[in-house]
Amino acid sequence: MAQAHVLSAGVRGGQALARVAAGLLFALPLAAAVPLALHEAADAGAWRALASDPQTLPAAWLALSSAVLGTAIAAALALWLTTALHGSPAWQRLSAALAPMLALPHAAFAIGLAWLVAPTGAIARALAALLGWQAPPPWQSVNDPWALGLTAVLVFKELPFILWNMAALLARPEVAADIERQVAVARTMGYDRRSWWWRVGWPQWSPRLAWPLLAVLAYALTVVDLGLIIGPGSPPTLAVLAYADLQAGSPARNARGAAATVLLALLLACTVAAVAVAWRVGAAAWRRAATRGRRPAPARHGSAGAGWAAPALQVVYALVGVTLLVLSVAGVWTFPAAWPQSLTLEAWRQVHAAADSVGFTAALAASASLAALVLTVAWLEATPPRWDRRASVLVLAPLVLPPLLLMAGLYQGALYLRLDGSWLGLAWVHTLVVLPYSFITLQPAWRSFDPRYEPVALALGRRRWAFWWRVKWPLLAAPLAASAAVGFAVSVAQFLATQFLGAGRHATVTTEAVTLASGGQRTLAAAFALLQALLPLAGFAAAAWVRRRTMHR
Amino acid sequence: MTMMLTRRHLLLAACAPLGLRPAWAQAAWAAIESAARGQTVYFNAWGGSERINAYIRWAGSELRRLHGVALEHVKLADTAEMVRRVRAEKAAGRSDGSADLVWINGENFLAMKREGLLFGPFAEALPNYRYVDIDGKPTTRIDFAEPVDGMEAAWGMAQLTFYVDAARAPLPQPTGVAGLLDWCRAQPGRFSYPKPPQFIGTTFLKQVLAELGGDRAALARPYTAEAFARLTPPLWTALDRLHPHLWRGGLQFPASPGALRQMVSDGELAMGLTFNPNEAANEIAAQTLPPTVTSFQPRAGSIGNTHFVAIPFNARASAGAQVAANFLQSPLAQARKADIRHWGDPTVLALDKLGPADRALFSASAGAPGMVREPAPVWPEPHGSWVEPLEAEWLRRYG
Repeated sequence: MAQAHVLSAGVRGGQALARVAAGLLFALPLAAAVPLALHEAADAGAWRALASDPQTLPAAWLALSSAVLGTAIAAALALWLTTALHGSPAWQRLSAALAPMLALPHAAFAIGLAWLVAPTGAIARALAALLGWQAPPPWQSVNDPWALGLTAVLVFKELPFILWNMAALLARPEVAADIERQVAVARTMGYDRRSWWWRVGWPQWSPRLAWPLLAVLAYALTVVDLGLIIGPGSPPTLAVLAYADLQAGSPARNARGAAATVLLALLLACTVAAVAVAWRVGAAAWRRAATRGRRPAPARHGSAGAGWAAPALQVVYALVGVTLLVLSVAGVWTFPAAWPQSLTLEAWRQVHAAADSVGFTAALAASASLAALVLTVAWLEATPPRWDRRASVLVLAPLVLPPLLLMAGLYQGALYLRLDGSWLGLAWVHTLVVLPYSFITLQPAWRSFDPRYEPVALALGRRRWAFWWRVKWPLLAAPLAASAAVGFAVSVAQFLATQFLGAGRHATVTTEAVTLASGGQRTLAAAFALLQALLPLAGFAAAAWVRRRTMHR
Repeated sequence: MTMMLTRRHLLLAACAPLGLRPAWAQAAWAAIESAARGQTVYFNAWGGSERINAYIRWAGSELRRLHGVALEHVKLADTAEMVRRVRAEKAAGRSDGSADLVWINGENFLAMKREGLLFGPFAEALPNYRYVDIDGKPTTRIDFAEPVDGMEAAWGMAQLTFYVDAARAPLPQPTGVAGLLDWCRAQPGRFSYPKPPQFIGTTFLKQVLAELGGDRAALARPYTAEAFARLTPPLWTALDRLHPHLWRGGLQFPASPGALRQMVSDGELAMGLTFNPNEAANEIAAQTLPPTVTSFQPRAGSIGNTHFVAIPFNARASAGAQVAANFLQSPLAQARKADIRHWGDPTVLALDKLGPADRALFSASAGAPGMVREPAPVWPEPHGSWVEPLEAEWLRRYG
């Protein structure tokens, strides 16, 4: 009894320490940086300028429609694929193929896909060869005014991310065994596997995807580089407008850009609120429909379609990859030539020159993702689940705020602390940016962990650390590795965080890639995509290996 | 200190045309040079062109050899990153800043100058300032209608230039805005300009306005609603007539000059525009534009400006930065920069102010494919206050 008292005091102390650490290292700097970043928006003139700009409304609509549609389609596809394929070898194949899809940078995927469908792209050239076209057709297949191209890229890039989270969630040994048991019980009652998913599986598991889906929505609403590459031009999405204003030299335009940023954050909040209401209403209807007792005939077609859709996704990525390889060596390549008029290795020469930064980039990303993981685990262990929602504004802030504003705010804080230009400051700010992603990818698994394991272990006379070390963490190894891999990739991709906190003194593969890409050369962008994909690919592949090991133990 | 420098630079400005450099100015420069030795200068400059990056590497090796100054290129994707960094440093009260020398002009210069983020004046005290073509190239002292006041040192020249793929659009090239309309009627959908407020797009509006508005002197004065109402109708009439013949019927516009160039290279467009008269020649050499592309400027003249280097107020190595700025203005560095094989950025120097040996350095660069054959006069930028009304009205009509 006395021992239990000491133990729980120790645990309480540990919890307090973890809360203080999360507060000091994460919440406080962000709480200080967000007002610094957004103070420009506190200007009535900026809001008037935003309201009187004829582009604002259509741009906001384009941002909202592409983000909501892209997220919804990707989520629906992910549910459909999981329902049809989970528990089959096809699911194993699909989850193994996710790593390279996730590692390919968004912008590179957009460049590759755009080239396939553009009026001067692969499809048009093939048609030109057949039909004898000399001039490119007047297609609006890229930069279309309805943002359909942007929506398509979002679907293709976010589907693997959602599946990745799903795979990590469902790959835990105790969950996988549980699912198989429940499916077996459902079968004895006359429901097939698919019926079990829609009646029992998804009502349990889909709320767990709320955080990853929120991150996808926030990303889609605020993404700039995709909008510039494949999004509409006149008007562009609101995020692109805000970005252009923030880059401008005039303070009035800077202020309007900051106001547009706040508007984007409000749009996100409204969308989330609307989805939450719809979920309440929809969930009740779903439950009624699911418990009516109807037993639909086992479906064959749905599953066959999914068996076909998963390889199709891989084919699209493979085509984009090959396209990028060809573009990276293509000099001039005018329509309707089937092969470039000149080939050049210049872009690869520059990739080679920048490859020195790979080691530094990896070390920085490894420290940041590890630190973020430790902080996330500390938070999840030290706080009750209802605290997650309280932290949501701070968790989402780094996802929603334009890096140019957020980093200027954080840099100012780092200047006071004299952390600027130092390795420590750089690692800290990377941790700060990575942490929301660690949280988003780890929270679903951690919070759905069966709480009964702990009292059982303690009752068997195990100490709490032994329970963590020997029971909980091994069971959560797959989500931990998946979360670390996402954090690692996020750190590798940071540009402005590295530029500001490193005061421009530390080069990473991404700072090299982004600065060179600002010249708008497609060969460089295509070649650097491979260098940028290299490190995240290693991270995702390692996480996939951990997932397979835990599955087969 | 500031006071002293101001008086000094006034005196220098008075002496410079006479080619005189008082003994104390030489002594002051010698002191700067000796302070610079051993310093590291962090040069914050856009890094989107490997040719420019290579030029900066060369300048760094020369600076180390000649002056013992280490030049580190901090590559930026956009100059706004640096402006915000320096602004945050000022807000935090830091006197030891992260940038020593910055590549800048226009709005960013105006913002930094107004907010007290710049060191100086220093530019007119640089020994090589005496070679700068301040009479022939007035934009070396007036940056977008803002007096430079010695707060930045002229580095290179820019001028609005069109490039056209002769393989897709037979000659003749347009000679001005009127010709442009005929050209676009004959080649529907094969020309466009970046969407204002993208910088090049806005410059295109200024060009049409300057060519058709008739009163360039009025454009040099600050914006008034009356002048706007009087001068801009011909611009809107011309655009109303031009747009239906542009890419996608003038309903959509490319996002950036980079996207425009790619579309010309791929053959979706036949004509584009740029601010670097040698861009097409550069891109042909880099195999990103076909060799059939040629450049031209509107016969009567086209909008031009100057880009500069400046020193932030809190530079740690301000002496080294001045030595670097002076080197970048030297005939040796300017000649290499103007050479199409290295960068192809027109010089800010007056060749007639140079000695024969220095002048000979500039003869190397002639006749690369894609270069402008008949250079047109440079028209200075309209006063900066015209930009926002022009962009707002354009967006209202066509955005």
